[in-house]
Amino acid sequence: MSGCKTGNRRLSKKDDDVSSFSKLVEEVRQQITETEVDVVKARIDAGENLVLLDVRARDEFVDGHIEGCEFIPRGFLEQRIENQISDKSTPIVLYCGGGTRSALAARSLQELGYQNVESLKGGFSAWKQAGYKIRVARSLSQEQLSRYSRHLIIPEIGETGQMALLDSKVLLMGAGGLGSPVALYLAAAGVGTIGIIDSDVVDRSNLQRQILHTDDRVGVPKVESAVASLKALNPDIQVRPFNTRLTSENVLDIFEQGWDVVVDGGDNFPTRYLVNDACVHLNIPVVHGSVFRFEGQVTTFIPHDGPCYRCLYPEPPPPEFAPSCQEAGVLGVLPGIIGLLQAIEVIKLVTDTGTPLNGRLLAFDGLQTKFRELRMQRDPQCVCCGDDAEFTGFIDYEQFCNVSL
Amino acid sequence: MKLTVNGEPREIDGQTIPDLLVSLDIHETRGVALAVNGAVVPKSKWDEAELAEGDEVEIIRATQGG
Repeated sequence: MSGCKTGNRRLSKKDDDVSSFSKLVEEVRQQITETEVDVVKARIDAGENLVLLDVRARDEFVDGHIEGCEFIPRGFLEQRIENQISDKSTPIVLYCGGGTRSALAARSLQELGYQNVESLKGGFSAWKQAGYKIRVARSLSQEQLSRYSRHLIIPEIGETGQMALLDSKVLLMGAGGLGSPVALYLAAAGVGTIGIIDSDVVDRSNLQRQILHTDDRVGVPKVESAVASLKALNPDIQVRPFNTRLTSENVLDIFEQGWDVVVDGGDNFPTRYLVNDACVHLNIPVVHGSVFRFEGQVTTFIPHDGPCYRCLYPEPPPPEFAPSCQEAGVLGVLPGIIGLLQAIEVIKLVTDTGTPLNGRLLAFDGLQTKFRELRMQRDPQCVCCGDDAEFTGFIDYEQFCNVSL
Repeated sequence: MKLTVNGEPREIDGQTIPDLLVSLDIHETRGVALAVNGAVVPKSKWDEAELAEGDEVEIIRATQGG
């Protein structure tokens, strides 16, 4: 008898719980707008600029979501919404699995001052049942979620940006002073494929600035040393070594492998002009950096959209006017500064974030710690990217620069 | 004419970029870029560009090191 009684008490307690939750949801539903899936679908198809916001848990989102939606799990909604959608008059349609969590979420957004919030009636289940298209997300692994967590919470990068980084292919010309910091930070950032061209071996005199390499690798090919350092830092990425000097003969073989960006961190003029001409020909953006003692220059050349290297410097200086690092020296830190400015340019280009240095040359003076910015335009008379320019093959760049390498 | 060249005040004879370069004793112009009031003047336009009193000129050189 007493067991039965206890049972009744439990049942009645549960009834109370259910009824108070139902009561809450019922109350909330009075205060918000619920919209049927076919209405929302029709509005999207008509081109209405509404934000569809998935508020379910990550694993639900990954299993399938409405194409083009944004995603903030319910638990982070209040905290993140203002970063993701700052304009409070934006029409927002929230959805969850069945329409309950999104109803509660809608009230929260109203309380935060959002004026045009709706909840999708019946949620994702109703959307699927109506036969409307869904998208199954590629998802980051647990290890990737942890490794890139500080990127994932930046609104401008987030999961989309991180995926773009992981899918990107970046080719580095040189594994030296500039190539070292660029390679390390791009590998750390999760650039999925990094190609590195260099024909040198590690020399002890490199180690004052070329932080990809280590003392016990003196005599080892630089690209081999680079692979070891980058894989140790981030086993999640692919590194493609090209243990060769870039020449007019091999440039197309190497550059026509689907690179999104080329980073020019070479150490001589013939290679810099070759990189420029090849990238204008193949339409690949180049993030350019160069250093001399306490000074550095950095810019981004986007072929035909802005100037190219030849618009700025149609011809190289004669050798006696432009000594190399070997001849003139360079402060070890300097390529670190310029290289990291190149690295951030790459990340911005790949994730389509911010404003690149396209058409702007940034010159750094390390002695004064001063940056100068100069505006540049494409020269319509440029022999490489000008209006009448025609690609006729690659020239003898050593002869053009009056040097032998 | 008074100009500022790389932050230093300068007095030059003439109105053009070639005049300025002669005043500065710069005879080798390969690998040299020049900006007037923050905008690089393409080398193909050096002869026709006119300088004006008070212009701020920046002269930079190509560097190859990496």
